Amino acid sequence: MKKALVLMLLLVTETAVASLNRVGIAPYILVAAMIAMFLLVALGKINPKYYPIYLYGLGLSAVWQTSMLGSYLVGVDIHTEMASAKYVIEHGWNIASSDGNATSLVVAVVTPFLSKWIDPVWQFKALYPAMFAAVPMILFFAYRHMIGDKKAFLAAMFIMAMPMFTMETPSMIKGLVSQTFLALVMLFMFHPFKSWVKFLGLTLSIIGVVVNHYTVAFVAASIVLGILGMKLLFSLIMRRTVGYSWKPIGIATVCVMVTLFGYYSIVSQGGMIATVKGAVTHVANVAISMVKTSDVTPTTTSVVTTTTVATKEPSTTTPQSTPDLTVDKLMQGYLERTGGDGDGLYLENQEPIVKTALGLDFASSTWLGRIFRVLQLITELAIMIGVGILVIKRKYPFEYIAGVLVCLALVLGCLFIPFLSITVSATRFYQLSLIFLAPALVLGFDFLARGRVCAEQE
Amino acid sequence: MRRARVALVIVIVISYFLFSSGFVYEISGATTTTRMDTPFSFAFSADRVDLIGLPTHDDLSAVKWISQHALPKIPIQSGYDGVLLLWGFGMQDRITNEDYVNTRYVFIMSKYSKTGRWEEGRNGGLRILKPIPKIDSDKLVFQSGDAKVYFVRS
Repeated sequence: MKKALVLMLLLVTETAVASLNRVGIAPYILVAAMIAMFLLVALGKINPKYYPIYLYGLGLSAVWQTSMLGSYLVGVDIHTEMASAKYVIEHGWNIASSDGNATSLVVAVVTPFLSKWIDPVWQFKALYPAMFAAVPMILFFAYRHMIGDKKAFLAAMFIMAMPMFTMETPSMIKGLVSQTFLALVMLFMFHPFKSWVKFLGLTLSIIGVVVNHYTVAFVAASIVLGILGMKLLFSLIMRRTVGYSWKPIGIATVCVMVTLFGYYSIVSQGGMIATVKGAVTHVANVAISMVKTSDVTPTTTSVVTTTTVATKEPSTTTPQSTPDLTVDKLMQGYLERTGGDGDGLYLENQEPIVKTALGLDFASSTWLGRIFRVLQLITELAIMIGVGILVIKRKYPFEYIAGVLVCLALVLGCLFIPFLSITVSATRFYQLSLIFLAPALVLGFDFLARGRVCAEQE
Repeated sequence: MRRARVALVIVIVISYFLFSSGFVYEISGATTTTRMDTPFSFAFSADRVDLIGLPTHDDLSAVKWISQHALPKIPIQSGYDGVLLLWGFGMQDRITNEDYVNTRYVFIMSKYSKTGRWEEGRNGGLRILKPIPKIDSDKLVFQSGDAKVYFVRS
């Protein structure tokens, strides 16, 4: 254990110091460390009781290699969050403010409170990323009872290796904190804790998800409702309760719905709920227009913004009201953003990241880009194989399999429903879905490697 | 046969990781930032390709000067990363990206001074660059290193 702790402490310290001073060696050392760890674990050379230490150390280095770059903040949304936090520090928290960032407790309450002791810049650069770095370790504990220690470790490492984990999420504090709580939801749902621990843990984790980021909150609600719906359906068909007792999913559902609609009805004068309703309407209207060949009668809808402007003065009128635009104008704006020309298969007008995921931009890529796309498609194939194994083997918790299918549907929705990926960010959806899908990926690769499904501990 | 398959999967996984970590983008010397080709990483390539607006101490000094000394309500123009800095310091209401605004401050980050270009915008990490405005040096009101603030008045 001492060796593991010392090694990880050295790695984390080196990453932090090198990143702050912008010495370029840190990411090379981290890549080498991650590859070495992957090989050592895959070959069974590391004692599983040290896995959590290595996961946290690698995770922290992966996150800090971005967030600790230079002497100031790194990212886009993080600057608007800083503006909101500073405004609250100077003027206090106005719960009615139309500022979307001010609906996040970490931005509007925790950061100002801690600013008495820690500069907000360093809270954003170091403290919250250090919390988020625990996600792979938390998920390891969630997965291990389902797929075994080694596969759980590899699944957690895959999440850590994604650019969304190392770059995108550390650049948005409310999402970062919310996702940490989402990992805890996963843990309390699937780790065999005592009943009262599960109840308390699930309740607090779900509240933590909801009150920190509206987008993650709505995704979490979708997943929970999806699991509940499937459990109800299959229990009716089988005429018995499938999976766990009704208590965990019941607690999760009640918590998420009460907190979500209760909290967001109060903060920002209900603006976030109006935003989501508008987003759903947009997606439906534009998606139908993009897919259908015939003209669609223009309807007036409100414009949806995916980022919210931080305002100095709280709005006293109904927030999120914007001039109405026709569907045609929305489509025009959508095509300008994606670079599509409106012709051809509607998928060809999707945004670049979606086309990459589907391999539609293969011909226009460099040879390195084509190699990457082939590897990307192989990982997607592995996920599909893994999902198949989960469904067919039937020895995994029903709620987990239901969650996997819901997340798969969310990802496929981002790929195939026009406008959805821009509205909610395809990469963010993918990362959130990986919380359920990562084990499927490992099972899929395991099957490809061995040609059969192996017992958990192999 | 089974060993070969296991080895192949390990190679595939490690290769995927080398791409997704941004390692391949960096060692191949790629510079594509206007479309999705191979994944890049801030940690590897931020300085070489200017992927993310990492401000220098001079940039922070300039923004602090603007927040403390610039005339209130006068619009401020900058590139995308300069705008983000200004936003973080609470000046989001004054940001303009229009050259035709007659009276405005123009914030030139250090990297804009060196390259002569700034970002028009970003979409999913991809960047679109355009030349910075040409402004006479007598309109300079603050400078710290290569970071400059101009006051343009019609």
